Amino acid sequence: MKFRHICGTPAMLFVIPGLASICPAADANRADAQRPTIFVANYQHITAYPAGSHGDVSPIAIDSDMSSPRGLARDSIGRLYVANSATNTVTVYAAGANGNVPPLAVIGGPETRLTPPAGIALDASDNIYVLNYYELNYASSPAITVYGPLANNATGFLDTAPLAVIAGSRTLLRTPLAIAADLNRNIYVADGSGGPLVRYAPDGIGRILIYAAGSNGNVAPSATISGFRSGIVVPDGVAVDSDGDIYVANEATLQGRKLSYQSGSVTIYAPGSKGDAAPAATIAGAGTELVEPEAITLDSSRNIYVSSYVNNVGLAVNLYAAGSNGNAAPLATIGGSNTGLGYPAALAVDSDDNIYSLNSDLGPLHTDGINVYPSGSSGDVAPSVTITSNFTGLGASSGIAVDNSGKIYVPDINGGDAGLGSVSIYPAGSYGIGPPLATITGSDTQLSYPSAIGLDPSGEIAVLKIISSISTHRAAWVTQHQTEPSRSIPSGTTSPPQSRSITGAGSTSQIRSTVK
Amino acid sequence: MNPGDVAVYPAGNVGTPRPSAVIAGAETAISNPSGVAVDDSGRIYVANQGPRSWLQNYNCFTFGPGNISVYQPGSTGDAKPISIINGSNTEIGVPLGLTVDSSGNIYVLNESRECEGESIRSSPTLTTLIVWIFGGAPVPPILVFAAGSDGDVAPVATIGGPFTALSGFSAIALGPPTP
Repeated sequence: MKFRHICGTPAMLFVIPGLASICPAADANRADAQRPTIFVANYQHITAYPAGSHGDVSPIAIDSDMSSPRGLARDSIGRLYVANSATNTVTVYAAGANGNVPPLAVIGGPETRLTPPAGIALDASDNIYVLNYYELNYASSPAITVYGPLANNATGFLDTAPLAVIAGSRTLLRTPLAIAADLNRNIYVADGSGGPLVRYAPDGIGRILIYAAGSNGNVAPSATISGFRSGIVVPDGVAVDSDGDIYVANEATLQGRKLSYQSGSVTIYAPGSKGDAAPAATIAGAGTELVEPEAITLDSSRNIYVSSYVNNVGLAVNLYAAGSNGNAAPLATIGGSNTGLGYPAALAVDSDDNIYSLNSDLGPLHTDGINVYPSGSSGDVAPSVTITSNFTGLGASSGIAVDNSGKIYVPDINGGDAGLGSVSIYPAGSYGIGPPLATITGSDTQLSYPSAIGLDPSGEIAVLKIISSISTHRAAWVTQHQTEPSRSIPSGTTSPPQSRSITGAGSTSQIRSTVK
Repeated sequence: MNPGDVAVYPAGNVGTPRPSAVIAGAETAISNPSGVAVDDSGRIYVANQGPRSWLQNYNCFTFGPGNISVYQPGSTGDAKPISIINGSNTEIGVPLGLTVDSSGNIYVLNESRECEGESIRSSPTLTTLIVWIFGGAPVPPILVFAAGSDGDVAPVATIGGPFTALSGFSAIALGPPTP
């Protein structure tokens, strides 16, 4: 299918290093011409909105970094697709990509209706199925958006309306967590709500929703699988093999009528299963090393790969032989400090059985990226390939300020090599996307977990730093840095409003706010 | 419990100087301040997250409802605000920060009232705090109030929703007009 550039015509697309799309506000009126642009520091990215913005508006510029990724898929020519929940994008990486690389293409923009993507699957024809939902996002309503295959030579920012949108009350989508598609283009969703109600699960323990190929609009699923007999308990992952067998990673188990997160399971259903169907096989028990399993995928031999917490190892990827049933031990476990596994939010396997694990910022490493482990990997092995795509350098932004020239200053509470913090300065007009002009970091700076920033007209940067601990915010003082030696504002222009606020990060509020 | 204060330091000081003014006391209505801004006339705007309370049913702490209090230039001590923006019409939940433009319009970064602390669900894999949104509709993340707003006033504009790509936000600022 044909995607178009995001601003309507390619001539309006501005591209800067790191692949940023910056589109002038189409509806900016004259009254807003001298009013300020609104900048917000989000966890890993900056968003900006034109003056006069109101309602559910897209930001002026779209970040192409991998940012809070939740879904991973691989197409027939080896490109990798990542669903980025923070930036409402799907970033597409070249087959064989390695290192800190920009995406080949970015699917994103108002036409795509990505809001925000929480999972992704491709069918055998490379049609793209995106699950849109993030439980912590403001007023997010779940939806499945479907797009046609990406052209083999697709590059740049791509915007298009989806071919189909499955959303609405009849769909039964409530808290969808994972998506898969079979050879016949039926769509499978693991939803954390619905199904039986038990203690600690007032919205139900979850179910599998199945939509017929070609579904569009507010349509009911063609089948659902849920119930005590089915063994579905907080389903976090779903996969389908070439025969249509359905594999579900269940994050929890039931102890009587109570949820327990001390163990999980993989349940496998015959094609066409529905209702409270008993699974054809269940991988569960102490020997399986399944604790809160989440992502699940299959290789061409139907071996089963599951991300899980493993006792004495930590977060890991377990491999189970095809046909496993009962208290089956994994054939292999990839886990340990050398693996670089963060929080494996999604898995994929290629035709050579190389294993792709999507690191999500949810995990202890707070890093986004894709790790690739060669076929046959087991134990505490380093990945053969690590793909990151972070050009802003932001990991945990904690404040924002903009000077008169439009340069953007963003402290990162854990930035810098020592993790004690940094301040990145982005060019005017960049909207905080792409690489910074400069980064202040290092022991001489005295930065210590910077939690807020302010500028004064002389160009000095005031940073509120935390000297006791990240958790309390009670002890803080101001450290100052001199920025550029001089600045100039063209004569005849009106000096824009100066941001003079210093704000604290997070909701721990015993901060002693400071005004320069 | 100290509800918080606003300390003002003279320009040019570094390290640990003594503040030249501290706005604190019962009359100030300052309550867990999260941000402060100053307009061109020197008025001081404070984002207050509001009281911290324990929600038995959710097994967690929360802040709010919050408000915005405004002080005369040069205020110090137990100064009474010249205006307070608060009430249900304001849509203020728990403000995280604020800034003011040259016309005195107030831009508030706003968060829904959420649980903070121990989750009702213990998880061996998630090290990040699990936050449970409770009760009612989420509030818009960005609220814009007209200059001089006071009392239970509605914002003149709000920005929020799934298309905005606002997530995990921590701070707000203003920059030059969009070209």
